[in-house]
Amino acid sequence: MSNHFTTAGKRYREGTSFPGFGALDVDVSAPTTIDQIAPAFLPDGTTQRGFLFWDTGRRITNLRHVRWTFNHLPDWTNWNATAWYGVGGNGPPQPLVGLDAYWVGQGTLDPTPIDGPGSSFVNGPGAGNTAWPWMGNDHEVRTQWGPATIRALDHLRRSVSDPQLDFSSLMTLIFGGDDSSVFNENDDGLGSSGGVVTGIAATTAQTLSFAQNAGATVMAGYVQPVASKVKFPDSLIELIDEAVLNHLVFTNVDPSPDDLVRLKLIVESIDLVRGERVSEDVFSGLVDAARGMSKAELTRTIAGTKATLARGEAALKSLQAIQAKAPTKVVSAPVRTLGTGQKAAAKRKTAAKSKTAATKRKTATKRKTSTRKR
Amino acid sequence: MRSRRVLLVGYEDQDNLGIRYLSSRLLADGHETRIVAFGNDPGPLLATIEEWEPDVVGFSLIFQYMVPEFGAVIRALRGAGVDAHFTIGGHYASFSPEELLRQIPELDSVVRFEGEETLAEVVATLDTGAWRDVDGIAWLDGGAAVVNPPRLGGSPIDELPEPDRRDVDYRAQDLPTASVLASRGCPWKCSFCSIITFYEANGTKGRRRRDPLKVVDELEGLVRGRGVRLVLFQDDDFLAGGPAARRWAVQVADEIVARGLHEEMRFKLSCRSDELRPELLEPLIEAGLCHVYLGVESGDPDSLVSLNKLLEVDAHINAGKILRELDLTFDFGFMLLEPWSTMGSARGNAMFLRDFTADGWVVAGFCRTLPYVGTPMEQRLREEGRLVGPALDAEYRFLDPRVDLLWDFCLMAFEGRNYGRNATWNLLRGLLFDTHLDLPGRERDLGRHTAARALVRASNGVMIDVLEAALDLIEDGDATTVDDPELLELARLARREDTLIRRELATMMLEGRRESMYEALFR
Repeated sequence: MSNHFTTAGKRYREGTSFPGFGALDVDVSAPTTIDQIAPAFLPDGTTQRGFLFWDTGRRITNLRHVRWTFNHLPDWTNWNATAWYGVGGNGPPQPLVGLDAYWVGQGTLDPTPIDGPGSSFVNGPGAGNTAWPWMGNDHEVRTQWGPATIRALDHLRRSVSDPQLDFSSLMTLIFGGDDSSVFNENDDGLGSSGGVVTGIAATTAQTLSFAQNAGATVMAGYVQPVASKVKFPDSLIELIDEAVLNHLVFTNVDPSPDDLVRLKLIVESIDLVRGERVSEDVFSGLVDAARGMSKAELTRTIAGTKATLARGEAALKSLQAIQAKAPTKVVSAPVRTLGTGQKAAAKRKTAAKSKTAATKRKTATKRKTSTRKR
Repeated sequence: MRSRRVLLVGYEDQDNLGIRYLSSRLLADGHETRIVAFGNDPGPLLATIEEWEPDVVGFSLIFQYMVPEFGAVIRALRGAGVDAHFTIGGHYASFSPEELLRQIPELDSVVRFEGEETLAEVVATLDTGAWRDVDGIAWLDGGAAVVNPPRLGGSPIDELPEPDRRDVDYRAQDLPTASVLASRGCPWKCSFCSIITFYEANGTKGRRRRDPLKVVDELEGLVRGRGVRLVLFQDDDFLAGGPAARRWAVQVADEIVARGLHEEMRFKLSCRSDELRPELLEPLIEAGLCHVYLGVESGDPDSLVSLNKLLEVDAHINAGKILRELDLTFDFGFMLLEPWSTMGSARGNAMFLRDFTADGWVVAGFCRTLPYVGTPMEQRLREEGRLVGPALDAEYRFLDPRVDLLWDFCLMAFEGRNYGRNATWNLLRGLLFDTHLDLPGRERDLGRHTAARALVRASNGVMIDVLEAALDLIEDGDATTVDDPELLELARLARREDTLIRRELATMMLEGRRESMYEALFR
């Protein structure tokens, strides 16, 4: 059975297929090298699209020419690469650097990749002259008032149900692509990936600098961390040992200690597969740690703890507001037809209710000392 | 007189009443007008010009810092062969016409100060070339700026037709909201503000109030004819002008009630702290007042003197108490720093903010005072030789370099929280307003309001904690540069907490009914 390698063109950022691109569909049965040069510009109806970047399958690059070298065929099965094409901007160039994020192998990401505290910007003199986020857009940095050094975030996540991604690369896009060299991609180091083509983290500098009044479009690539191998037997033994040592396994109740151990193991496994660290309770060890803190660290910790508590209170109030609005349990009641007397009583009741609101406004209507003279 | 086509281009924010009044004035003279929103991309504007072929294109420049954007668009239009008469107006244009013409020489004229009569005369005299003699304009004569004498008298505000709102479909808005101007001018002489100098340049004094009947006529037309449910009075100070102004405000309120409009709409106004009195607010609340914007500006006695606010800190405290007791939401403008600020005055302001906003009834936020053209402050800084940088972006440094460091820190720590169109400060203000608003047919959402106040308390608290911690570090000499590791960590804390607050805020806003309100009302 041979491996399968494909390339395709897509419209940026829509992600729709771009049929004008000369796609490849190759069966790979022996170590080989495949080259493809994406055209700089391609027509798309009445519009002209320019090459922006390649998703090689493991990284992104703004070079049009990519060379894939495959030497480890048993390590993967299907390999897909995508060339992205966009439409050029209108109007005069602006002193604006726009950053977008991309999940290698998946597509565009909506959250901003800009690490605000890790970057430096020069703001203008006005209250609204904030270089980042420019006009409230956290994907844009205004360079009108000075140079900017922009750092990409270490991690990004598309949504809560997606894994946390690792930074891979940061590059300025060129409309029509970069012809200066060839980008070499390969299938090295996929041995433990279970046949999946995995991205490569931290392949370029994480920071780019721009001069005052510079304008650019920058892409930050992110990859899913390679899943750690979960040593189920070892973990299981450790957990059971721990449970026994702590006298947790002493009775068969529901949930049984076995269930608890399995549950704990599953939770840890999911975290490991997602490439995440097991989270700790926010307050654990806080007081102990405080004893070794400097005055400034203690000040920050107190401010942070206060803020956490205050946010918690806000969340609690939100929950209570939702609870107050939640429909009460509906109890089916037999349908009854109202008699004339009952209908009149119901009508009076409704009128009385609306009178409450009307009375409120009556006070105001009493002030009807109109100044209108016409 | 020949009928002309005039295209008016302005930054649209809560209705641009400036160009809407200009438009209605020109319509009254039999001209044709169109209003379009300003955008950085000249393409759509050029398409409109090519299709409609206006004789005049008038630009409304509201913000001084947007001169480069306006310049780029105007140059692009000229480059594309547009030969219409280009004119521009607004505060900056009025005070610095020579500089503006130097920056954008593609302009034919600058209409200074109140522009209705001046623009009407420019349009009327285009054929003869006599527009160059119109009072109240500036223009380029062979590359040299000529500034004509100012037009005296101001616009006759009771005779002006109501603003041209033909292009606005209020009923399509989630919460149909319109801006109304019931007066022009202001009698106060705050050093950071150019309103009084702007209107006095026309030879007018103080605040000119419109006939209350005409104000309410306009409201009635908007509410019953256009479906408006929320009115934003854009008067710089709705209550300014002493006892006569207070009587006038009550007349407006009584007329609203007499016509039953209080059953159909709510309104917001702006004023000073020392103008608030329960007996004045009660009739206004009966008439539908739901929100107040308070020009607090500072909570430090020395800074209040520098800003020439002519009031004591207690006036702010008292105003906050009155508004809370009357169950009115409010928000306020605040400048943590002004050119003569000290570390002591900054700390005083931080303490004031903590006390004033601790209950989450109102959102704490701040900026620093900017030396806008035409203000007494700009003049004083110029005289003291402290203005630096290009004329357009004239700047100052503080007298104590530690205050400069404090401000640099504030930009680093609170960018995104306090500044920018989509700042947390703005979103929280919108959320408080929205959850507290009781419109006819729409009950106040007390549960959400309580949650919103808790979130505001969290946001206010962490901002002021961080601010005071930074003050400590800088005052003690522990931090001397903005990249001091302790300051950086403090900034990280502020930004991290703000990110978390915004996440919580997003869930509250999604739960709400009209997210667009935040965009429309609080920027």
